[in-house]
Amino acid sequence: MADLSIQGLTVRYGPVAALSDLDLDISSGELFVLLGGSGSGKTTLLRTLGGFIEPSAGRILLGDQDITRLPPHRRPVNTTFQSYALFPHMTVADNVAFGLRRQGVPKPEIAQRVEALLDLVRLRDFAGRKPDALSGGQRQRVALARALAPRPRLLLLDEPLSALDRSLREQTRQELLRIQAQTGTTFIMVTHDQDEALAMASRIGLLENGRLAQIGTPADLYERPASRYVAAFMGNDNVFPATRLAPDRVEIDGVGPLQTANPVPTTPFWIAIRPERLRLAQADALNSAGGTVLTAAYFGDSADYAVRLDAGATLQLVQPLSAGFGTGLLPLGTPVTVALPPDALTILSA
Amino acid sequence: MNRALVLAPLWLWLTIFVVLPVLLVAALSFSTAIEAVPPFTPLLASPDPANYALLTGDAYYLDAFLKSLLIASVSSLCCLAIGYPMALAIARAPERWRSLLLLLVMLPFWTGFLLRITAWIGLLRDDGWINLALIQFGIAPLKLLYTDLAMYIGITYAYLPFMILPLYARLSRRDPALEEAAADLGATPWTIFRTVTLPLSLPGIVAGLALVFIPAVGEYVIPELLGGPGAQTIGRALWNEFFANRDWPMASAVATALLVVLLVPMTLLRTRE
Repeated sequence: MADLSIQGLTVRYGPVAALSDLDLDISSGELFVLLGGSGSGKTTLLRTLGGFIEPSAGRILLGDQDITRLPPHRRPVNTTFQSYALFPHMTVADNVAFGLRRQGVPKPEIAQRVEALLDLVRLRDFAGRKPDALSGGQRQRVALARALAPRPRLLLLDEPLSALDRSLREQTRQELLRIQAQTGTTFIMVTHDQDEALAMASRIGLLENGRLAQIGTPADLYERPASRYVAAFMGNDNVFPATRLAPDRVEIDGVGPLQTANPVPTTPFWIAIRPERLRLAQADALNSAGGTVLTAAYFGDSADYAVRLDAGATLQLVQPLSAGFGTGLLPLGTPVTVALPPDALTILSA
Repeated sequence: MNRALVLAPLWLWLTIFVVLPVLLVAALSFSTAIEAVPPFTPLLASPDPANYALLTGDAYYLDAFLKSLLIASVSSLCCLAIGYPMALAIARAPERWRSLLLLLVMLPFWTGFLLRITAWIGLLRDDGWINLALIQFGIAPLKLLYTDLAMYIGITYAYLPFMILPLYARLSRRDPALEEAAADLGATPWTIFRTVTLPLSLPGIVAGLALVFIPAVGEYVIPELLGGPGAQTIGRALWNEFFANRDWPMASAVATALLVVLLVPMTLLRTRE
């Protein structure tokens, strides 16, 4: 059952539409990730849900309640801000208690709930500190505890990991997942990082110029991108125009004729191939193409290659470096054969 | 070495124009007035604390001090009450308007101080513009000029920019995300102001109050021009000793005492930081 229902949501700044006629249903308990580049409208959507931007058209329903025109302080929705926006003149405990005081929760219960929340984010010993005396990761957790305190139906997270360094990001990501599972709150998180989205989301909505380019599970977006834009955003550079030869056969410019697993449309289409689905083969196999190694990069457990095909195209491919695949990096200029398994070819209509 | 060289002009300036005059006035306050040129006994020849005994013993001076402190307190609070909404409005105005609005706040400085205070006489007079307007509305003309009210209006008017500028400086640096966060957590606009905006602007309030309070305590011109004879402030007492009584040592004692009294709030301010 959809808990949050966004219907025909449009936000215009003058003649520019930041969001155009957006429809989206999000179920209770989901961790929905809004993914997109800068200017895609993801932050606008989050701020509109929080009540900080009034939409030009459309409706936002939370359960059966229409919250489209409610001011921020009357929405059962809380936000963790990208800058955290902790109140610098209040202690950690007072920050967390802020929302509870506004709800008129009795004092003894506030103390109890603040303590439970600080336990949840593992900051019990920091209750009396001011935000200035905390590290970035700790501030992030205070912001989370503060936003969860009023028990919102919906928690909005604006780039929660962007201000953290790499090692802390991984740890905080797992904390967020644990807390989400523990509280059962619906999370909507904004990010520009597709790896973060893949690792955390129950579903992803990829925004492109104020429209949803695709909504689906991480595997949907990764394996079955709906468009060239989605394929490129999910980190796939192997996207080529192709022509139909037969119902199960295509000709890719610069690669050659290939067998496909899925039926080929009669309308113009493109072919996307994930770099890790390609294999370096020794001999001619079904669906293969010859070429030479153009660039090579070593990552310990895998190697990234760019292979210049004899037919002209350049393919990006990722090879595992483990038993059965060899452990060394191929020198530049090595002649190789690339196997393109039929089920690795994804057909894109746009 | 370089540092000392750079700071030398500053120290020279402070020594010649601040430290030496203050020491001179302090020394003068311990001599005695005589009929001569200059009209006092040689400095530090025979230091005599008689002036301070009079200052603390005579209710005239104590009343003047208390009256001045009261006037300065009320005026600073009036400036705060009027200046805070103005500073907040400027800080919240679109960026391209802010410098123009600040310029308007400072515009009165472009004309002479005395001229502006004299203009208030024209407004507040029994047949002045304010009373003419009141008559239009069927209200009997009020006695405004030469009252405490006129003096408070004058001081509040003259010192308002000194309140607005530090407040604006503080409020313009506030993080709008904090107010959004408060709204997000269920705070109404008034609660946001009470719990976030106001406490975070406290250093600006303190600075503004100090900038108004300190000069207002010693204010002489406005009580003299707009206030009634009852507004016997310490500034007027000082003036009288110096010019009417030609008692320079007593005037110096009053000035020194005023300086000491003002050092108290200023030290408090410094320790707060």
